[in-house]
Amino acid sequence: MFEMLDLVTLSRLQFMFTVIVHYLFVPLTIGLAVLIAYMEFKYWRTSNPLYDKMARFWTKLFLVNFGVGLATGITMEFQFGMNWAAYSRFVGDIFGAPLAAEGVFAFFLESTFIGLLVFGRNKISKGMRFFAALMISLGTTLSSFWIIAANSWQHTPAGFIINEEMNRAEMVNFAEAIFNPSTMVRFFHVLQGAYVLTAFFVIAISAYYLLKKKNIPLAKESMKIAIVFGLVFSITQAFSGHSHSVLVAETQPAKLAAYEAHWETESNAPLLLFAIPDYENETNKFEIGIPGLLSYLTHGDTSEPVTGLKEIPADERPPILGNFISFRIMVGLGMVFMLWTIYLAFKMRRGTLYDNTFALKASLLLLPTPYIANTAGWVVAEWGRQPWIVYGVLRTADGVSQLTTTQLFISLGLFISIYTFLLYLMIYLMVKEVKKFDMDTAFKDGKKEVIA
Amino acid sequence: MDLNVIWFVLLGVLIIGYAVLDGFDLGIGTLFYTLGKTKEEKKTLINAIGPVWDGNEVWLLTAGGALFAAFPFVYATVFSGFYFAMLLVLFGLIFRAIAVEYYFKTEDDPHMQRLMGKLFFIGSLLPGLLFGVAMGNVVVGIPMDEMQNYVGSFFGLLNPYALLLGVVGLIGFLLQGTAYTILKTEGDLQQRAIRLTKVFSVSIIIAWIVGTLTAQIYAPHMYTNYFNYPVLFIIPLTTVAALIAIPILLKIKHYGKLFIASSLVILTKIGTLAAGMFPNLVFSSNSAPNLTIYNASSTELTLKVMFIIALIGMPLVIIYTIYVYYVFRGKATPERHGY
Repeated sequence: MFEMLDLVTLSRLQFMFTVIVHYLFVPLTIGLAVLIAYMEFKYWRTSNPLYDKMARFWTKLFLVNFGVGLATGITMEFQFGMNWAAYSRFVGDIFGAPLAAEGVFAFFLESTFIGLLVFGRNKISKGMRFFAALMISLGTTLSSFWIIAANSWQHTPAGFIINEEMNRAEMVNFAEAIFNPSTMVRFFHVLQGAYVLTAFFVIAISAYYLLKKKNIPLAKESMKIAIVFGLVFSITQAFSGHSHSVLVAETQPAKLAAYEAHWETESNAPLLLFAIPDYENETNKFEIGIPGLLSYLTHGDTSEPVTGLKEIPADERPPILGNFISFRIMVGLGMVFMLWTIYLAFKMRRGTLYDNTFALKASLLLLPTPYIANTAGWVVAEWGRQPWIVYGVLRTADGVSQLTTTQLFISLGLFISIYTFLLYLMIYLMVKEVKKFDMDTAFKDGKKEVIA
Repeated sequence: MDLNVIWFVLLGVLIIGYAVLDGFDLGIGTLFYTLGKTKEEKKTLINAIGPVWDGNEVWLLTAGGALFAAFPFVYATVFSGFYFAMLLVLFGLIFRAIAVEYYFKTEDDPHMQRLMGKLFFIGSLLPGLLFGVAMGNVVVGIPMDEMQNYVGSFFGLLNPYALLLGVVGLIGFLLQGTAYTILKTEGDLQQRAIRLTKVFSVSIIIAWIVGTLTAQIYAPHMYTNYFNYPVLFIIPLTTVAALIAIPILLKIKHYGKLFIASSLVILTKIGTLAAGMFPNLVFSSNSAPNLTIYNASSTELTLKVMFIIALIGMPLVIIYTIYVYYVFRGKATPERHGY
């Protein structure tokens, strides 16, 4: 079994593991920062102490999440150089700039103002608190912009030439490289994914309090905000996802064909619900689909052909089954999110939500699903790009550092153990903070501030 | 001055900014048990860095990003070549982040809180020591193949000069840590920091002299620039002046100036190395050419774009960083801050 684990596979496994764990924390940071800024805004304008408690309670959870997100984020910046040195040399002229810009424009902003908001709460005015929260959410948003810009360049590279002599890609147009064809579409897709996840997180914890008959005013108001937030963005996400697929069909046809397990370039292409790909005979052993729907979704016309996998050289095809399944998980859950927030909004309007045990329990149980959907989304994005690390330009196998597999076994082992501990710690603290929180006794400001 | 030179300087500024600011966080973390004898003192130490450590660490992340963008060949060679050293730095930074963020959150679970204390210590010591070791290797020179990959072993990185530079760097951070502790605390804790400051300022002089002498054996090329441009000797002389000023400032209790003096020690130590290295970024110890600001850099366009980004972004960063330090002026206390 170990012969299968060559240097490239191990390097990919390590990157996949560390980035998936990291991204478990990122979306909540992005989304909760926006909601906290809104709560701080309401508190600043209305002076209603409920908003003060809400902002502070959610900031508490934000911080537990942020700690691990920050710690696992440092890994990402180190890892390009550590494990992907050949890639770093090849793309440094383009890929490094957005990472540096992220530091200058985003990381400084979020980390400095988090310090101010958390430790300076009694030293600054309400207006300044709002401003600090706003800067945190600006920071996290800008951070995702620069990272998505860099990552999108791997999918739809633009604004560069290849310098054969130096063996690298060189930037010729910064704006084209940053605003490459997929940057904005993917940026909005990622943001909305983060907002939906956050909405479900806030809904789940509020539902928990409503079920326990604890912190009820805080839970009701938080839930109301989160339902609106989730409703809006789970609907816009459907449109964003659709336009993203259309773009993928155009710019990365092999990727879309893998998502759809679509072999033949044909008009009236079916949208498959189930399929078992047969790699040897280049067809599916079994499939159930809706005729013409794939053509229609991609081109708005059932008679337009959709590029099939057969048209792509075999050594340039992404893995099919994994992409096919992950894509269906993502899309399927996206529909669940939309339907569920519509249902919750409907119940809320009728005034029957807060004591509807079924709705509350189900909301709590749904908590893991947006995490699964976000992860599935990244899996199809990155797996669908294979075997390329820069689509059509550089192969993943040509990007690794010349390390030994022993080095990789050791580092991967360490990452797995340390990250498992981090995950455990984060969940332990999150559960503890949620369970012990009592809005009537918490945040009593005094000279000596002691919080239970 | 061309853009390559500008980026050499800017990278130096980012690294110095990191070493000066996060230097005191690393120093305080390494001295967590030496300075913090009681529970209250430990909490005070965490609170002293709590509001600012995260922003301080961003200087490192930005320096890393800038290195990737401006000198990608150096970034690739150093990070992949020093694989385990970088891994340890990384785990150190991860432990430190967790420890500082969760120290107060684990208060009702003494077991867990003690673990956070240990992670804070080890997570500060590892990077504090290894940054200097990495610097030492870059200065001494590393063996590379024709693809610029490091071809030495992990233990090859632990050569005497690199280890010495690791120690010099660590003492510099410890000094910075005690100088900051003196500013931010009172009573026993402050007195302990004052005593330690004296110890570190003497030991750093010794380590520095030994380092300068051994450089003649291990890294004689570091002297070339100094003999060609003797004006550069101003930099190490400033280190000496700052080190002499430290006991005097301690005696007359000018603690703000003391912190500036210890920051100057760090600044000029890095400056001394940078002046000796210029225009090289990584020396080679075999037939491979050195990595310089010219053969390891990005294209002029990228350097220009990055320079504009820095010109727009860094003044903003400096303004709000100063504002936040201003809000948190004065002494730190052991209370939990509402979270």
